Amino acid sequence: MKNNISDDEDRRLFSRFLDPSLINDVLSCKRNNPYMTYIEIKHTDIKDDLDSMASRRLGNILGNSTTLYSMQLTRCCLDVLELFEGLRNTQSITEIGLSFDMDEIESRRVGAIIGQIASLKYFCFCHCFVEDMAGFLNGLQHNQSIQHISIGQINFQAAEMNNIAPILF
Amino acid sequence: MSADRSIDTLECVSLWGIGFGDIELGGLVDVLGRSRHLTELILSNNGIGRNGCTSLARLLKKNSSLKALNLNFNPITDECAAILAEGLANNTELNWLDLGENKIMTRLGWLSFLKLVCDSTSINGVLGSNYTLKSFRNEKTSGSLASTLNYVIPTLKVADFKLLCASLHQNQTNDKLRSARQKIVWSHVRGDLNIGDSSIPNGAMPHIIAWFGDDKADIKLEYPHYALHKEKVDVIRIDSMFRILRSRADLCNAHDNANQMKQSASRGK
Repeated sequence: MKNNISDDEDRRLFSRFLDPSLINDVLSCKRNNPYMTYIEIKHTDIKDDLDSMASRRLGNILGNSTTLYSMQLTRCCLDVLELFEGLRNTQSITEIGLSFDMDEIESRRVGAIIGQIASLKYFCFCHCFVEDMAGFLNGLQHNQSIQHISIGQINFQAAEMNNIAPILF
Repeated sequence: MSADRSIDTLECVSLWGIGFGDIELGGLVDVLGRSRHLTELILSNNGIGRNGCTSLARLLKKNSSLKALNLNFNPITDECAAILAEGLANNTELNWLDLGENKIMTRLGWLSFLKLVCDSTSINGVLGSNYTLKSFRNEKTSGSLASTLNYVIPTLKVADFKLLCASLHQNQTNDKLRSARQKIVWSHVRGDLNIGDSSIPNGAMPHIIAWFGDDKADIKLEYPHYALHKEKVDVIRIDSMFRILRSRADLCNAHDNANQMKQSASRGK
């Protein structure tokens, strides 16, 4: 995906999927608007499921922003793997909140990508179903910058807690 | 597997609403016990009971770096309270223990915590109490003592409730010697204190007067918001001066520190 994509092209790409106000927020992130430090993407802001290309582009924009430090994804219909591939190299995001279901492959790969985000300090993961929690945490454990982990209302086997703890820490 | 993960970066771990029930948390505790910078552990709404509390008490006995432990919305019973209180007996790190939204614990449970922060049965008991725990709420969410009291009030008797609150409040000063003196006086006022039988060493009286006799002394006989008549205060002060110092004149040494008190308390036991 080329890097020098104009705002008009991005607006055209996202117009099918996102609400106009969210598109404006995304473009503010792209321009490194100093007031755009936090973005929340939730299912009510999405008109149609984002395809792979739009998801990757969204991740790229957010991941390249130098002013965005906090993002929250709540029950979004998008390609989560592509989104996080785009986010992988972020150097400014310190807080990520996730709240959406993931299948086995997504659990492992998203966990692995988050495990490589060196700027991350706060990670919250809640209100969702994760098919492979251990796989997700296995990836996450490689992150050496996280100071605050919050996991809540996740649907996984409670009896696994003692097995998960050594992975998590 | 965890070799890649630097547990030392972690400062706060929150595992809430997972509902793992009253299982033993040995694995979790073992891992957390190795962390040097973990200051906050949130385990709200997980069905934690006796087994979980036993594991957590083991963590608290290790005197880990933990400053805040949140167990609200868990079925903490009187037995759980006793287990946690025992775990905190020698802990000098934990400042906040959140037990909110818990309708199971009764007066007996809170008495375990009262004994933890102010064991009024003897001077050595008071000296060996916990001087670190400051509140039964998390400072970051609702740290005021008043918010703590909302869920303690219905269960404890007024006098016990006041001593518990006053002791927690006193722990907030971080002046352990002063807190010890204050708790001793309060315990004496309650009539709980077993002074024992000993004599005052030579030369202790000037210190005794400096401590109790001077009206400018900052030791208060009243609990906060619990005023006594002046005549009664005077009588208690003189009586306290004699009886308490007859037992433990070393308390008058202004250069005492908490470690000395602890050692002294353990010797007494």
